[in-house]
Amino acid sequence: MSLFDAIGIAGTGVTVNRKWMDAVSDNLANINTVKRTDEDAFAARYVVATEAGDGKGTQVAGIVTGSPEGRMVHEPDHPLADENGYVKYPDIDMSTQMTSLMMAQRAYQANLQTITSAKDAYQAALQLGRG
Amino acid sequence: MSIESIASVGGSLGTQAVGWGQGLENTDNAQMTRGVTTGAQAVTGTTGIANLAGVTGTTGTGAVGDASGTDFATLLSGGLDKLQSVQSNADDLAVKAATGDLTNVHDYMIASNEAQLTTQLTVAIRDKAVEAFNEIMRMQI
Amino acid sequence: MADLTSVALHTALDGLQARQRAIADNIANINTPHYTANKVSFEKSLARAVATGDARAAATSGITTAKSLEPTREDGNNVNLDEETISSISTGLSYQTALSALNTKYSLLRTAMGRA
Repeated sequence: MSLFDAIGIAGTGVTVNRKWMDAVSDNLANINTVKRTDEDAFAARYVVATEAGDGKGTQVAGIVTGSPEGRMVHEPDHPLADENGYVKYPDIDMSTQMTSLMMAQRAYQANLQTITSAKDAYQAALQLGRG
Repeated sequence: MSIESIASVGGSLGTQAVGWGQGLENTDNAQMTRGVTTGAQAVTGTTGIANLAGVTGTTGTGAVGDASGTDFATLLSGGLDKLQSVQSNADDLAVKAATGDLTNVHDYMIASNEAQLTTQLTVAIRDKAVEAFNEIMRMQI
Repeated sequence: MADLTSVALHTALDGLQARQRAIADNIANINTPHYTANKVSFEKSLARAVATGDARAAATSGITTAKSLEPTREDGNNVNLDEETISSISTGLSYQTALSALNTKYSLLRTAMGRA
């Protein structure tokens, strides 16, 4: 991406934020995934972002899973309930996930705006000397 | 009639005048001619004028440049060299843009605008110089 | 116009157009199972040809298409939408630059010939 570094750097931001949104949407989709009490609950996924070094933007360092403990909920009528009538729900807080989703979306849009501005600046440079 | 002869003409004029005036000694005309005679004799002083040797050509004015330090030919060839270097700089940056090695697009845009303006300037100077030459050739001597 | 710069720019325009086509193809196939993205490259071979200073070498320096080495998702598709979008913008800008450069060369010649 030697023509205009800003576009490449914003591109890395777009990729990381999209991966974040993917992880959050996966967590939200599974927020009601029920497991038996003897199994691990669905663990939330968190994307860890680090600097790509040398002013080259950001990158995903790894994906961290949350706690598999889950929370016990008393639902005796559930087909997966154990002998005490408990099932395991994932330990995911919807409001936290929604906040993360909004942050990821705003960051995604901001990076897209950077790309648009860089593209406009480049095109203005191409018009240098005309008219 | 060479210049020496003016002296002799003056002399002969005087002689003639005296001859004509002999019959009219006391008239006013005689007085005047007597004056002419003496005047003409005075003209004999002209023997002093030496022969005007052929006028030798002056050495001519030095090249106009000597006065200001640069001359037009130097300016023109310097301008052509600069045009050459500006155009090849723009070419190099264009090739870099083609192979994707160009880091700043404005470098290329500035160089290309410079090349265009320098070319237009040089062409305008050439046109004016040719026009001036034609103008001079058309002058009636 | 057979000088090195014009020929190199022409080859670059060809390469960039091939890349745009490949990008459009990839984006159209973003949900096709077992589709691998195509990547077009021409810059390195063009740079080598230009370094030799020979215009004919620049004219015939190749445009190669290779398969992308990105990791595949569950459906076997490995098109990375962000990368394709960025690449599309960057290719469009490079195309405009190369066109502008070629335009400048022609206008210089026209000026020297005495026309506007």
